[in-house]
Amino acid sequence: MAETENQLIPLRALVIDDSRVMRNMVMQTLRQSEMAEFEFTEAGSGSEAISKFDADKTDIIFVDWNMPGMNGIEFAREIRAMSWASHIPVVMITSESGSEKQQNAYDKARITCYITKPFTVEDIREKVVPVIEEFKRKKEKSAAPAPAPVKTAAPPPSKPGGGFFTKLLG
Amino acid sequence: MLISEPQTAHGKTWAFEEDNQVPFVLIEETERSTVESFTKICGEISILEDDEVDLTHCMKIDGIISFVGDLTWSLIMVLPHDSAEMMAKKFAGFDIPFESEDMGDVVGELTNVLAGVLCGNLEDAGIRSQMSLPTVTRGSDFEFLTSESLLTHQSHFAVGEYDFMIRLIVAKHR
Repeated sequence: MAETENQLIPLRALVIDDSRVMRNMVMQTLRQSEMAEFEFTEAGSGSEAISKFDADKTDIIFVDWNMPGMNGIEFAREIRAMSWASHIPVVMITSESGSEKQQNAYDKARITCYITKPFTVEDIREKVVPVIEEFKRKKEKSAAPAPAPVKTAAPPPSKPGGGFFTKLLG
Repeated sequence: MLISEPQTAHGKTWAFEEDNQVPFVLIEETERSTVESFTKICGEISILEDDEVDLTHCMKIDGIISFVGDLTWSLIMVLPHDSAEMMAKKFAGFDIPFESEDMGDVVGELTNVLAGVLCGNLEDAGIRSQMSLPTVTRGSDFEFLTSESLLTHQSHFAVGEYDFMIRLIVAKHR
């Protein structure tokens, strides 16, 4: 379900594909999906993406699998190895439809989800909406004020010289 | 007599037979994968029986991908000028001129999409394969030369009035 315009959250997406046309198609489809107010950074290869990558300015990554040089799996493994960035969702966009190969990639690079080419706006929504929902939950949780310390009932202070000894001696 | 031992997976048997044909399972899965992938992009696709169409002299763009694994082979998608522009528009959603750099990009992607679907279908048929990155060749009056150690097959498809070819070039296994 598309959110209304004033409810769209801003989302900074890094889009990595060696094909300029594919990058444009991914960005256009994401805009059409109206899942978030996307702000894009583009990279034409895994190594270019690593050099442009800033974990503090990236909320989600869309990466092609088959690229010359550093491919999408190698890129995702690099990101997962960075303790300060390993939480960022990585969405793999691929023409590889073999389930065994996809499972291997999940295991090797902890890919968040897959989108298989060719894709439609609906395909993208189906896969990416849960990722954005999870992102929003985490963001809300981290933005919420820290809970106040829980007050416990303290025992009444004992009177010096009172109580047991008073009765005993009394 | 068979050149290679017959292999059976998921109820399908494939081997290089005496008459040196491209394995039927490869032709069948290629045709099925082509229809499966391009129907989603272009609409209804038909497989034409006539595979004798000569595209050598027309202006065309070819997307090429190689595979290794249980078989060693290449797939060439041959798109005549108008078919390429039609498919590019359907895939990308906007006009892409035949001569542009983006056309090479799109044809590479289209070949990649077909190869990906085909790899998945072959995997289901018990044939392991790993695909290369696509390369693209554009022009007229060119043809890929093949040697006697290679087997070839071509299938002819049509989307309405626009036709295209898929050529398979397979190395004989010893």
